[in-house]
This record gives sequence, structure tokens and C-alpha cells, in this order.
Amino acid sequence: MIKFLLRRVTALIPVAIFISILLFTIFKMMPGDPINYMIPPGSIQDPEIYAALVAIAREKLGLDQPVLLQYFYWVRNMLIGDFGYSSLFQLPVSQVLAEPLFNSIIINVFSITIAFLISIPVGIISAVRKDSIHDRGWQVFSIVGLSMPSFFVGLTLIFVFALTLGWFPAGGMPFENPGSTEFYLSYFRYMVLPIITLTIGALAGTIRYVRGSMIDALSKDYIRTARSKGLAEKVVIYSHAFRNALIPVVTILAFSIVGLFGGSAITERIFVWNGIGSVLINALTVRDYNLVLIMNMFYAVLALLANIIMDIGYAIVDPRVKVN
Amino acid sequence: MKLLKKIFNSFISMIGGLFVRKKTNILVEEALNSPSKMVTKRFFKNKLAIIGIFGFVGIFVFSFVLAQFLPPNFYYTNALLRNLPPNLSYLSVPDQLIKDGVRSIEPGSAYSIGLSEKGDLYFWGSDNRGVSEFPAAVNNVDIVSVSAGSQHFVAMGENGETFLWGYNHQGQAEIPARFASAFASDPIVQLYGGLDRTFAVTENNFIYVWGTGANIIGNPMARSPYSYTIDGVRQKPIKLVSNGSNAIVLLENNMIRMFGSNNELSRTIPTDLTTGDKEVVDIAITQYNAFAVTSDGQLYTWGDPAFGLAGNSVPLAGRTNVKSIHSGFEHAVALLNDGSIVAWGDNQQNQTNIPSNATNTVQLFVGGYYNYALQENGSVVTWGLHGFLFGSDEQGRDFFTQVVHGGQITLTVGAVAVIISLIIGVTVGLVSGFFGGWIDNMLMRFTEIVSSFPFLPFAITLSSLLLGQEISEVNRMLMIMVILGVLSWTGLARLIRGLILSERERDYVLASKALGIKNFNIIVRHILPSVLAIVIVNATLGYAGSLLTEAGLSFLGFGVQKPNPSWGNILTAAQDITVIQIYWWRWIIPGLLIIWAALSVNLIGDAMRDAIDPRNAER
Repeated sequence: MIKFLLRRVTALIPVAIFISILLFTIFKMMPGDPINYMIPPGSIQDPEIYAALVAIAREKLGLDQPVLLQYFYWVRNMLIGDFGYSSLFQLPVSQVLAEPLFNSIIINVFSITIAFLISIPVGIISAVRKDSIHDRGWQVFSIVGLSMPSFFVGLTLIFVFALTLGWFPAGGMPFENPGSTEFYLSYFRYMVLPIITLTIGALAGTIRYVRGSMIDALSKDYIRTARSKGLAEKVVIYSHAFRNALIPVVTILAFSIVGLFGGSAITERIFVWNGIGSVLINALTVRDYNLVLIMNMFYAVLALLANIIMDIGYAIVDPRVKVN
Repeated sequence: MKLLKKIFNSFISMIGGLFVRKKTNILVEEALNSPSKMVTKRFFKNKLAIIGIFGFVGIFVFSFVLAQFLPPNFYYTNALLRNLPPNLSYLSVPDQLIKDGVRSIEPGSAYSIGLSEKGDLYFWGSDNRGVSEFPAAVNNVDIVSVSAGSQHFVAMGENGETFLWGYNHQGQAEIPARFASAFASDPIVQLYGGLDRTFAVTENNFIYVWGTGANIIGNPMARSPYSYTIDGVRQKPIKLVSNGSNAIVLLENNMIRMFGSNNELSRTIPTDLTTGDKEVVDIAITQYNAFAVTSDGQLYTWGDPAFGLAGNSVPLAGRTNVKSIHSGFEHAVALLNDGSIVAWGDNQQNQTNIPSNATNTVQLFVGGYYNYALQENGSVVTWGLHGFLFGSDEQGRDFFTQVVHGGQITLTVGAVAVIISLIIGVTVGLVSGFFGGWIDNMLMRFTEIVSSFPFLPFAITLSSLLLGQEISEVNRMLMIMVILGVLSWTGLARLIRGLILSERERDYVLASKALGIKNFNIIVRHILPSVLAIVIVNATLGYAGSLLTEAGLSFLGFGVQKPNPSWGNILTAAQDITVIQIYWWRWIIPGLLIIWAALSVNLIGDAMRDAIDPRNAER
């Protein structure tokens, strides 16, 4: 197992290096000097003082070095945990991202958990009672859900539950004193609508997936064998079919885990939730390239790790898969 | 054609099948069918597929065919038509008003008010800033005259009561305290509404103005009261018309006077009309032009000819049978002695398209974009802006037109993006799967790299970087398509590679190789057709996804840029709570259209997949 992991991680390194070069090149090719956003031209009257300030800022950001050297500095700094400085927030990137990352993870953890808690039983029942009213209903739900943009779900929820019924706030972050009981209660109230939006988005796909793999499993020969042995239907379904049906579900679970950190730009935008997706959009609008670059690198590495998680997941749930 | 017939037949049989069960004999069922025929047959037997096809054809006609008939209005702005809800009754005169007899109709910005011969008021159209909330006292009094500003109403009761209501942001809908003592000794006898102002004529023939600018010292409208003494007599004003900067007064002695700004309009006023050489009987005004009819049936126009309202644009040259002249915001209408009507000027809201049955007009009521011609038999012929089927947006544009053109862009961007991803995905998948070895290894590594970028964040990043540059609208849109396409081919490439890997072990490939057929030909002629069906299904489902992605990207402001509308960027406005709550049509309508489009494409894709692989249908 450890050997397998080591091999996978080693195989990941060249890919990660390639991605970092690719991203770095894209960002270096972009027009627009980040200095212009730190010190807007015209903000300082004296051209000599302006030139001197620009030179200082350039040196501070390492922009006076050759591009190749800049790249190596960037990689080295990343490896030792120095992710650079965000010009938007005037803070080190690691500090900028800490809170939004937490906010994004928490709504995603809730929504993925709820989505799986609902979709696994629903998918199983739909598969077992194929073509029943129950199945048809969820089928309609899932195809409509797949065709529905998440912002429409969000807007509808705001319209109904925030503006019409007034049960939850329409968006934003709690403003109470952090750490107090009121803060957590309020945090929860602000969290509900984004979580429902994300859950509905995730449900449509997962129900289809669970149902499909369950139907596949139920059509296998070992199910017939189990039934002909005279096992109770419950045992056949939950013990024989379900466990095998879980194997493909691992794939979507792994991707969901990546999404956990990736944040959900659209949902966060609608509900003004201070998550990582919002930070990305803000950073892009003010061209805080350093922050954007780090975030994209972070996403890419996460996705590569997710592939490994997926492989491990398969190895755990499916004994037929040999790790080496 | 054949396909259309097929679709039609299956639709008929779907409906028919609900009532009559068709009997088939065993020979028919056993008849041999080619695989493609079977697939088509299975596809069209699926009710959901038919629903999907009709849905998609519907949305396609909606966006592409309607767009040919509706000229784009991306750059149109009209402050008076902002954020109006869906309503097509702007010209629907209430039956009761016609039954009681029309005394006058006064159109405002998105509504009209009618006064019946019985002295009752009727309102129709879209309420704008509370104009439909009549003061309670209005109902207890017989109204003798009513006049509309752009967003407020003024009315006079039979005993000299004054009623003002509606939008009061410039103080136009209430009598200002500074005039109260003047009106106490010299009561108001007539009120005129004009855009954001109110004009009052008093018993002693003074004219008072309040509303926009009228309490700002130095403003040309701030010199109330105005009065005109000619030959030692203070003349009684019998009609007053106004625009944003000037007002024309028709005096009892048939002369006209003008007050307000010193501009081209006031400088070019024909001297015949002010000296009494000609007897003026009717006047009208638009923002840059003015009109007057004299007792000998001639029409005088003056002002800036650039708006097609004055000078040579007037289709009445040499006519001496003009009875009265009327004007809306950007058009003018003249009633002739024989009861016919001539209209000219702006026609964007169909203001000048006179219906053929308006031939016996006795009286004409015109204002804004609305025209009412009272006929001899008491009926009212109307033309102009009927209202907005889907409401209007924050610029006063017809939202229906926006949505139609937005659909065109969204559907096109999605389709091109899918084609791009299809080309890349199929090529990479085929090459990788067929050649294997180091080529496969490299391509799959590359696929892994591309797929390891999370879609939305990376798409936002790329489009923000590319869109920051100075590029044309078309290139911008092309760029969006390329970004969407380039980021979404990886799944398809993997799928095709997998299919090819199993396909190339088949005997027919081996046979082709043994016959010495070139690799390229084997791939394109033999292997590609066998995976084509799956490619098509994937592309269809991918199209639905791509519609949603474009919408999401544009919603965040990183997709298609305004003023080009797309369903996504139309919805950007819905990040504002006011829009979500009050201007609901601006997000519900485009939202439902996106769902409709994506849903019908998904239904078609699902049905195709089931038709190609019937085992799938059992899933």
C-alpha cells in the first residue's frame, strides 16, 4: 500500500511541475503590470519619486529578476510555505485564504454529506422499485436538477425563504462577535440557503449515479445466485448488491472532495458568502495575479491528489483491485 | 423532410396511442430491421424524446427565428420605461369608459387615464410609481379635466377642487406651500401636467409652475407666475403644452407665447404665430420640436429637423385641412378635417402605424407612445405601444427582445464550444487509443493535466485574463467558446480511448490491418463509425452542460459581455435584491428559458443513449 502510494505521488511530481510552468507562463504572458494596481500611475505627481517607488515595489516583488529566476523563486517559496503577498488584501496569501477556505469547506462538507445521505437510500429504492411512482418522481427531479443552473436555484431560494417568508437572511456573513454563541447561531442561519443550493445541485447527479450502479449490480449473476439460495430480499439488496454498487460511487465522492476546497464561485457569489470562490472572483477583478496564480495551483494539486484518493478508495471498497 | 415526417408521425401516434392500441401481427414484429433503423425507431417511440425535440425546436424558433423579426435594442435606453412588469394592456381602454362616453384620455409614460362624460376616472396600463393609487376624494367628485405628467396626474373637480398624485420626487405631485397664499386669493382654474412638472392657470390668468427646476433660482422655469398682457389685457391661456425645457401657451386671442429655456426651439418660433397675423387654434410640443395649427388649416413646425418631426419630414406640405395637432414623446399626429389621421416621427414603438379603421375620427388623444382616436360612433381606435410581454429591463428596453437575442447568443456559444471540445476530444481519444504506447502515455498525461484544473475557477481565470485585453465583441465571444471547448474535452477523450482500446482488438481491425489498409483509414473509416453513436450522445449531453456553463460564466460577469445579451449576463442583474424581489420577471423568465433549453437537450440526449443501447434503458 505504502509502495503504491509512493509510486503514485512520484508520478504526480512531473505533472505538477508541468502545470506550474504552464500556469506561470500564462500569468507572465498577461498584459498589465501588477505595479500599476499597487501604485496607480498619476497618484504621485513627481515622476522621479514615482519611478523610485515603482523600482522599490518591483524589487520587493522580485519582478526585476529574469523570468526563469522568478519562476524558481516562486516554486521555492511555495515549497517552503511562503505563498507570497496579496496586493488586494495587503496580507500574505496564506492569511488571506485561511478564513474563506474554512467557510467554503464547511458549506461543502454539509452539502455533500446531506446529498449522499439522501441520494444513497433514494437511489437504492429507485433501483429496486424501478418504474414505480417513487422512481419516476426522482427521475424527473434529477433530470430537471441537471438542467437547472445553480444560480436559478439560489435566486429562487432567496426569493421564497429570504424575501417572502423571511426565515433566513438573503446573503452575507454573520456580523456578531466571532466566538460568541450568537455568532455560531447566526453563522448557521446564513449557511442554510447556500447549503440547500449546493445540495440540490449535487443530488441530481448522485441519485442518477447511485441508481444506475445499483441497477447494474442487481442484474449481476451473483444476485440471482443469492436469491436462488433463498436469502431474504433485504439481505440480497443491502449486503450483496449495495456493497458492489458502492464501487463506482467512490469516483463521484472523490471529485466531491476536490470540490470541497474548490469552493463554488456561483453559489458563494449569490449568497455573498465569503468563500474561496468569492476570493478568486475578487482577486481577478482587481488583477491580484499572485493570489489567482496560487489558487489555481492549489486547485490543480488538489485535483491530482483526488485521483490518488480515488485509487485508494477503490482499493478499500473493492478487494479485487490490487494496489500494486 | 423525411425526418420531419418521422417526427410528425411519431407525435401523432403518441397522441393516438393514448386512445387506440395498435394491433401488430407477428410477421411485422419479426421483420428484419437494420440497426440504424432500429435505433431511430426506438428513439421516436420514446415519449420523452419527442417532448425534448419539440422543446428544443420551440426554443430554437424562439431564439433564431424571432430574432430575425425583432431588431436588436441593445443600445436603446428610455428612463420612462424602466423595470415595467409584463403587461400588454397599455392600450386597453376599459369598456365602461367607452360605454359612458369618452371625454378625454391622457396618456402617461406606461399607462393612460381616461375621463368619462359622467366625470369618472379610469386607469389602465402599468402602474409606475403609484400613479394608479387615486386619492380617495377623486371618487366623490365629478372630475372635469385631467392631465398627465410622465409619472404623475393632475385633475380638476367641478367645484374647482384640485387633485395631484403620483411620483413626487420633484415635488410635482403636490401644490407647493410657497404658492398657497397666492392660490387662496386667486384660485386655480386649470391644471396641466408636463413630464416632471405641473402648470396651473389661475382665475386672474397667471401661470404657475412647479416640479423639476422650478424652485431653483436662475432656472428658466423658476419665474412663476407668468402672464401675458397684450393690448392692455392680461390674456387668458386656453391651452398649455410643455417639454423638458420649454412651455408653449395658446392665448385666448389666438396668439402663442413660449417660456422656459432660451434654445433653438424658442428662437425659431414663427413670428406669424406670435404677432396675431395668423390665428392659432392648436399647439403641440416634443423635446426638440413644436407644432401649431392655424385657423386656415395649416400646420406650422419649428425646431431641430434632425428628429424627423419638422420641416421636410412632415407629410402635410401644402395641406389646408389640418384640424388639430398632437404629440407623443417622439412622434406627432395630426387630425384632418375629413376625420383621417396623419402621423410621423419615431416609430420604434409603432407610434405612427395608424390602423386602417381610424377613418371617422372626431377627437384624438395622444401622449407618450400611445394614440387614441375617438370615432364618430363612440368607439376608440388605439395604436402605439401595447406594453411589454416580458416586461422591460433597467434601461427601458423590451425584455422580450433582449431574451430572444440572448437565446441566440447562448445557444450559439454553447454549440460552438461543444464542437470545439468534440474535435479535440475525438482526435485525442482516437489517436491515443489506436496507437497506444508512448503517444498514448503522453496524451493521457496531458489529458490528466487539463482535467486537473477545476472547471469553473479556471474558466473564470482564463476568461478574465483574456477579456482584460482590448478585443472586439466578436473575438470576445469566440474566446469564450474556445475557453469552454478547451476545458471540456477530457472526459470525451478518455471515453473514446477506452472504446478504441476494446475496438482495436476486434477481428475486423485485424483484417483491415492484414489487408494493408493505412492506419488513418482504419481509424476514420472503420473504427470511428462504430463509436460515432456514443460520440453523438456525449455531444448532446455535453451541449446541455455547455449551455449551463456559459450561463454561469456570464452570470458571474466573465462570459459574454454587455451590451450583447446572453441568458447568463441578463441574469447578472439578479445579484441585486431589489431585482429578485420586485423586478421578478428579469430573473424568472431567462432562468426558466435556460432550464427549458437544457432540459430538452438532456431529454434528447438521454433518449438517444437509451435508443443506441437498449440495455441502458433498463437502468
